[in-house]
Amino acid sequence: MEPLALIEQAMRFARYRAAVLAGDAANAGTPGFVPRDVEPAAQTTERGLRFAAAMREVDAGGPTGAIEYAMGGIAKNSVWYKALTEQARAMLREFRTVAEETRR
Amino acid sequence: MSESISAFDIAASGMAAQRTQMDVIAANLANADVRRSDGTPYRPQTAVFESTSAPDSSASFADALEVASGDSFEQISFDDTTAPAGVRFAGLVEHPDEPADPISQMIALVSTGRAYDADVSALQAAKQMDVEAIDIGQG
Repeated sequence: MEPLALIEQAMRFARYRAAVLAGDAANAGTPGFVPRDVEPAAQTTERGLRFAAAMREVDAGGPTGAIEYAMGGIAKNSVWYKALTEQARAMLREFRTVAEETRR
Repeated sequence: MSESISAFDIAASGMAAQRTQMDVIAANLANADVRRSDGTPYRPQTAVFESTSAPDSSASFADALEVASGDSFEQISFDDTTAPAGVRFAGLVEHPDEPADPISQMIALVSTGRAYDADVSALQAAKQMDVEAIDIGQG
């Protein structure tokens, strides 16, 4: 898989995780709701890498703990997403540099 | 990837839920010493919420990988059983044996405000992610 496509997949996963964690925060006071989180899952196949999201329940310790867990996860996820976008931008900048050098 | 419900929608549903809870608490405080027309004291209420999806929490790593099989192997794939959950108003519960205690109502109000703040933070984080994605094209 192309490195840029790999970064795109990671960005899609980060967006999905943001939605899951937003759900944890929104449902912190919902009776019976168990906070959840996702982890990226990758497997090598004959056709290349394939990706999925592995869902798991989180023992956050009640409504307050669920909010704290979600806020921590959202902050970490946002930083990771920013790093991914920076990496994508750097790679695209390299492509542009190569294209410009070719034109000279 | 399931895009049917986004972090924006979920955070917004949470904010709406907390606002509803605040309205109920405000009504409890306003009616703390009120007697109804039949002479009985006002019964404080609590808003109850429910998740808008019923996730299959038993979905395992292997299940998740199975979902990603087939032609969509290059994409992160999810099915409905792993959809993120929003929240919605389910109804009001009356507490007939408890008078509307202003102290407990104020504590609930502060707690609800904190939950609302958390939803706002989730919304801002989602917005920032979109802004950063747009900025990729800026070089």
